[in-house]
This record gives sequence, C-alpha cells and structure tokens, in this order.
Amino acid sequence: MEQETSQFLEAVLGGDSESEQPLSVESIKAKCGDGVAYWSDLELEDAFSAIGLNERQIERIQSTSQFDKTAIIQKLLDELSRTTLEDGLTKVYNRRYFERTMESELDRSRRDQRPCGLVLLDIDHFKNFNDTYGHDVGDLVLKSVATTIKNLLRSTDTVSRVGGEEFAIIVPNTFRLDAGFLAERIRKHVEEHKVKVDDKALSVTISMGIAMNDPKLITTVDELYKQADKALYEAKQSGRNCVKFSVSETETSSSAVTADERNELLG
Amino acid sequence: MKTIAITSGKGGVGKTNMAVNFGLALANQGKRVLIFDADLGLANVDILFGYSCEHTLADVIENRMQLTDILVDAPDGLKILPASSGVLRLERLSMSQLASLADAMERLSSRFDVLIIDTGAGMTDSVLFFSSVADEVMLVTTPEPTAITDGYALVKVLANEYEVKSLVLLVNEVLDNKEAHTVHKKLSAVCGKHLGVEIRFGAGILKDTHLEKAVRERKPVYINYPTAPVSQSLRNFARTFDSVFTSQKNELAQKGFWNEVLARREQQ
Ligand SMILES: Nc1ncnc2c1ncn2[C@@H]1O[C@H](COP(=O)(O)OP(=O)(O)OP(=O)(O)O)[C@@H](O)[C@H]1O
Ligand SMILES: [Mg+2]
Repeated sequence: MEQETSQFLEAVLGGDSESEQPLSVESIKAKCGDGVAYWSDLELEDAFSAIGLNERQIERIQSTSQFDKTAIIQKLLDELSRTTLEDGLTKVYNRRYFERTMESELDRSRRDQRPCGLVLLDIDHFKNFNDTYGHDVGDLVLKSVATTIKNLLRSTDTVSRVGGEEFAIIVPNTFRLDAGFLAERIRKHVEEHKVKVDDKALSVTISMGIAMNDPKLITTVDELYKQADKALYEAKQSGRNCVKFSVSETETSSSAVTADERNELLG
Repeated sequence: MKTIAITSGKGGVGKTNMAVNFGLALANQGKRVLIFDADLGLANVDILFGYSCEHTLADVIENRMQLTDILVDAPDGLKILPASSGVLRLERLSMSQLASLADAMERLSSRFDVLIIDTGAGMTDSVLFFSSVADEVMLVTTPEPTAITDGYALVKVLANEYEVKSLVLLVNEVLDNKEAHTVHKKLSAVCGKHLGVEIRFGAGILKDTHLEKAVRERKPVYINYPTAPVSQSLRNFARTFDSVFTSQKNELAQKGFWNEVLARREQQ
C-alpha cells in the first residue's frame, strides 16, 4: 500500500497536471486539518481542487479507497511542507519553518511544563571563505556545517538556516545543561573536522548562543530569539569558537521569592 | 562514591567550616573523603588548614598538572582538592573546560567513598552546576531570617530549573537542637507546599566560640578542639551519614553524568 500510494502520488503530482494554480501549503492546510480521515468524498473533492488538482486527477484519487485517499493527502502535505520549508542550499529547514516550529514548541513547553531551548549558531569569519576562495567554497562550508549539526542532533531537535551563515537549533524538552552539552558537542565537532575542498582542508569554527524559555512564563519567539542572539554576540565578543548562555531576566524572576513565601518562612 | 554539594543562599553561614570538619569527622570514622574546594572565586579550604597550595585546579584546567598530583593530604587520610583563590571563576569556564574537569573528577571516583564539594554561596553557574550533578545537596543556613530566605531562594531555583527535588538541611550556629528543628520545620513546610521539594533534616550544629578560635589559629576546629561542642555535634552527624545521605543519582549520573550526556548523542 505504501508503495502504491507513493506511485500514485507521483502520478498525481507529476507531469500531466493541467492546473496552473501554484500549490500552497496554507491553502491545503486550511482545507485539510487533522481530521482528514473523517472527510466525506465531497469535502475531499473540494480539498483536492483547492490544492490545484485537475478533474482527471481528482477522479483517479476518488476511485481509490478512503484509506488510500487519506494517505495520499497526508503525503501531499508532507511533500509540500518539505519543499516550502526547506533551505534549498543546505537542505536543512528554513526560517519560515523555524518560526512556526519555535512557536508551537514554546506552546508545548508551557503545556508540559518542560523547558525548551534555542541555540543560535554562526560560522566565524564566514566572509573570509567567500572572499578568499569564492562563493562555491562558501556554500560548501555552509553545507558541511549544516550536515554536521544534523548528524549530532537528537531526533526531537531541528535545525534551520535562519540567515546567511546563521543557523537556529530548537531543542525541546531539554534542561539548560543538556542544551549546553549538545551545543558544545557540535562546536567541538566542527572545530575538529576540517572541510575538504579540492586539495584544501579548511578550518571552520562556530560561535553559539543559547537561551532557555521558562515554561511558567509566556515567552514569544521574538523574545527568546533576542536572548539567544545576545548570548551569541557575547560568544563572538569573547573570542569566538565558544558557547555562551543567555542570562535572562525572566528566567530568574519566576524563581524569585514571593511575598507569601517570605511571610510563611519568617512567620 | 557519594557526591555531596554543600551550598547556601547567603554567604558566610559556615559552609567551608562544615565541609572541612564534617569531612574530618567522616574520615575519622573510616570513610575515604575528598573535599573539593569548588568555591573558585574565594577559595579558602586551604586557608582553613593553614596550608598554602603550590598547585591548584587552575593548573589542571590549563593542562599543566594531573588532578591526582595536586591533591593535598590532611589528617586521617582526608584529601583536599584546592582551587586557586580569586584567579579562576568556574562560571567563566567554557563548557568544554567544565566537561574535561568533570571527566577528571570522574576518574577519582573509585578512590573515595565521599566527595564533599564546597560550592560557595548564591546562584552562580558553578553552584547550580555542582548542585545539579551531585548525588545530594546539603543546604547550610543559620537561624537568621536572611539566611533562611536566601536559602529558600536557592532551593527554588534548584527546583524550578535543575530538577533538584530533595535536599539535606544543616542548620548551623544554633543555640540548641530545638532551634534547628524549628528552622527545619518552617523550611520544609514552605518548600513542600510551594515547590514540591523535600527537605530532610541533617543536623543542627551548635554555635561555639571554639570554632572562631580555631579559624584564627588556621586549624580545623575538629583537630584543635576535638571535644568542643561543635566537634561533638559534627561527630554525631557523621555517625548518621549512611541513613541521612541516601539519595543517589540514577545510573547514568553515577557512570559519569557529563560524559553520558555527550555520549548519548553519539549513539543516536
Ligand atoms: N558553628 C559555628 N560557631 C561559631 N561560629 C561559626 C560557626 N560556623 C561558622 N562560624 C563563623 O562564621 C564564619 C564563616 O564561616 P565559613 O567561612 O565556613 O562560611 P562560608 O559559608 O564558607 O562562607 P563563604 O560564603 O564566604 O564561603 C567563621 O569564620 C566563623 O567565625
Ligand atoms: Mg566558604
């Protein structure tokens, strides 16, 4: 069934589409929420046309079983998500994905009362690679760092390219020290593994800044990003090739002693 | 090896004196004890003993010496791992230096039964770091209100941000045992109610001018005045060691918390 679905999907997405309408993840998502499995044929038809499939394609899908249809829609969504949320060069996620995921992870962190971390990472003196060896080499360095990060992350962590030579790693459900060790591990790995380009072996180092949210407080993506960015700046200031934590005011304020607690202690 | 981090919210409540003299009492009862002077900002274990240490932890971190080469011998086989006064601040160490320090500590573990870490006061990264990785945290306070509230503030951070859910309390400079239990009752009630943290009673240690005298003589009170009230109460406390310090970090932590954290990623 798995095999059939992907073949089918290929046929659906493949060459014979007569539709000019661009596929947008938003439009599909709007149509196909989580409850896709319970949709009627009519609703499915609406969804398919909304994502730009032509009548013949819809007909082909409709002639399959309900179960297959659901699988097809899911695959379609996944595929579309991948291409619109991926960074073309490095094949890690892009900024758009980062912003969405960070937001939902912050929500989840509050719900589960488990901290979530953001690690910002910047390649040191990246401009030098471009200036000295050309942009192709710069691109190779970016790809290599991206791959290193991806290989060292846990299954729940995600990495996105959020700027020219800047990456953001979301580490959900993680305590401060663990986030620190994860970051340190990446830093060390990059430092110790030169990037091979033709006959050259280039030394690359990275600086990192970490911010942890406080699950008891409402923290926006923007706020957390700013904190991590500040820590990253500090890492750059203190000689690069190192990991720094942000010392957030919010982190300590929720752990401040309240008037009630004080009264009870001294009463 | 059981690791015990000694901390306090407020400074000057007697952490270092308790670490040293409790360590001596334990050593005297046959335990192999190592005291780690981790109050790197204000190292003073060596000053209490009247030693001046030629080599310190700074030499290890900067790879000039092996950890085993800088240990200092004290009575009853007690050993001290000296820090360097003021020169070094743990919070300034990089994660990689911390990790290699932790690695070196790990290698000492088979040679000792008890590792007492004198962490310093307040909420610096080094205090929080050692408190979160040790098997047990012993909070030291005096009956003084600010010492109690500052101690509570530290427990709150440890609970909220480092998952420390149980601590041992030592109430220092008490007039009698009743005073110690009053302080414990209050702290454990508020910690239980607001933080879900268990505060276990460790000991009440008497206020005793012998201790101040010994400090001036630059010798531990347990050595210069072994029969003084304060030495007596520490000796009694040491006898209860195995029944008080029962917590042990999970196996992961025992095997080397730091290295495990790093290795976990490799396996995935
Ligand atoms: N049981 C006691 N009886 C009398 N005086 C005491 C007792 N305990 C501590 N003191 C006094 O408190 C002083 C400070 O003790 P100590 O240096 O051990 O505190 P500390 O908590 O380690 O301080 P810091 O936070 O600066 O490291 C001692 O020099 C002594 O004068
Ligand atoms: Mg001290």
